[in-house]
Amino acid sequence: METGSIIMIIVFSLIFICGLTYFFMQVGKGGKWED
Amino acid sequence: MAEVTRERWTSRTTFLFAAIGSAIGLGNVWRFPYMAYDNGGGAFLVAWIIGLLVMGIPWLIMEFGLGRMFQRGAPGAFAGIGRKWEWLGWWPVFVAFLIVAYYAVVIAWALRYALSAVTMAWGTGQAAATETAGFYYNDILQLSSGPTDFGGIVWLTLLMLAIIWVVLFFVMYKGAGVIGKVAVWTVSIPWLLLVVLVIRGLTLPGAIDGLNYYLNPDWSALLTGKIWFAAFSQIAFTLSVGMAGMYAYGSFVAKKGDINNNAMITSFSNNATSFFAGFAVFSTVGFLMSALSIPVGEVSASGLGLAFVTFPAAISMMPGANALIGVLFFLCLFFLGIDSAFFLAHGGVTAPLRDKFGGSLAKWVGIVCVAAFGFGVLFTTEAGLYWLDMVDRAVSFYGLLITGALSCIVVGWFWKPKSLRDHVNATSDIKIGAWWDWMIKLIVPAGLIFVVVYGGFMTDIPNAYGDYQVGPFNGSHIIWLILGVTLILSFVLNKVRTRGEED
Repeated sequence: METGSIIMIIVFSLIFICGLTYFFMQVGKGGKWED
Repeated sequence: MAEVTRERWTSRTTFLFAAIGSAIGLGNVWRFPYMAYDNGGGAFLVAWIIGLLVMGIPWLIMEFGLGRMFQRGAPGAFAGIGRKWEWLGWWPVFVAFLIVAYYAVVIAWALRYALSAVTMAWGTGQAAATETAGFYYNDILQLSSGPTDFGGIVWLTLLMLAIIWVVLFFVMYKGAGVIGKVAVWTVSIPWLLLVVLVIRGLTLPGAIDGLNYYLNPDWSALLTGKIWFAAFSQIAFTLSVGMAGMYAYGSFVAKKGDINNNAMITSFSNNATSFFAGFAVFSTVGFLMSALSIPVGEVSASGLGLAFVTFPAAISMMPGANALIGVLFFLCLFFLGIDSAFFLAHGGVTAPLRDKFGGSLAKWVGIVCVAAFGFGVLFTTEAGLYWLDMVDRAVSFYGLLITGALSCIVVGWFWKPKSLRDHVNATSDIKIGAWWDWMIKLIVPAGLIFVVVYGGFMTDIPNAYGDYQVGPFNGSHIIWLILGVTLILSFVLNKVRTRGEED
């Protein structure tokens, strides 16, 4: 596999995993409507 | 007059699943991967993420926020801004109605393919490569010679369509509570199926070549207008904004519920799904290229052609479990489509009508299901694909983009975006700053206008859209006619008295 493709897989996987992890860590800090 | 009880999501989880399910649809599989391949691979992903941050998320926050603030669907939300703006909420309701009318037919085709996969009815082995197009056009569509040559109704498609609308009725008639619970399954199941398809794809010969086409970056593409057009258009189409439904979905959120963080989770989940689906698509496209020794340019890698011609051919040539993979792939398409369909039908159409006229939810759900099924019959005729293409261009491209741009302009310049920002910040986990106001005032409408002019008017005004002729009208005329009629109907509804409103 091309190096550029590998870098893209790593970078964008990290963006989505870190982004969603951060958002879920914020749950409950403002809204009062939780499960 | 008695107040109509507002539907509510039963929990934050069910709301998130419903919103994510509405955003994730067939486009995540058949549009996004091809856009990446065609626009610089990994470089496209950079433009696409920027588009998500500056356009997609602010726009989604606006739609969720307005719905929650005014406790109404799109028309009621714009009537809340100013009675004269209510039409701007009705126009996307017509967009949603027309989209779901043909979208349900595409789901019906997917169901027919899932049944056909059991016997591999489109052909087996390498020979299938030349047979799948014929199966799609001759057996499934029974395609006629042009849009006025209706032939007859394709009865098996009509039967599937009727089944789909019955299913949609039973999901929707009790409102958001049931929709949210069903969405937990209709989001989870296709994700599991995508995992299976990605694993199957990656273990095929030639898969890596396909992934290189999908992901290897060509950074010079970032200096062209084409990549930014592709990225912004993908963001505009992928989040299910501009189709009225997100206002209603936001209006079902509890009054102290979060808006901003939910919009961010919905957006990131949607885009992560697109990114992941690209592996299933391009590993399989790479396998097909390898098996047939053809370049990627000769493989139909997007849209209906990808789903109903290329994938069946690839499935036929796989070394084993062909029927199983075929059934799983088309069930995946079915589940991806079905929650977008009840989002469009319920959030996009039923909720606004009930807000306006009152009455029971079941009655309005029944009316909308029968009406959309009735209109959808057009797309089950032998000329259905031609009409689907024209209606899709009119509403899913022009309607969505124009109403989206106008909505942001009205909120940003003729109202008070700060009051909406204060409203959503009051109960949200993540606070948004004044930057959001400027995204709504400038960036989102500018992005949408760029897409509609660059990708639409510049081609469809000087040239006729497609190769269609309906009496004296060409394809572009039909598009302008659909937009004009739906706009006039929106103004008519603006004039109609809302239940409980003083004369």
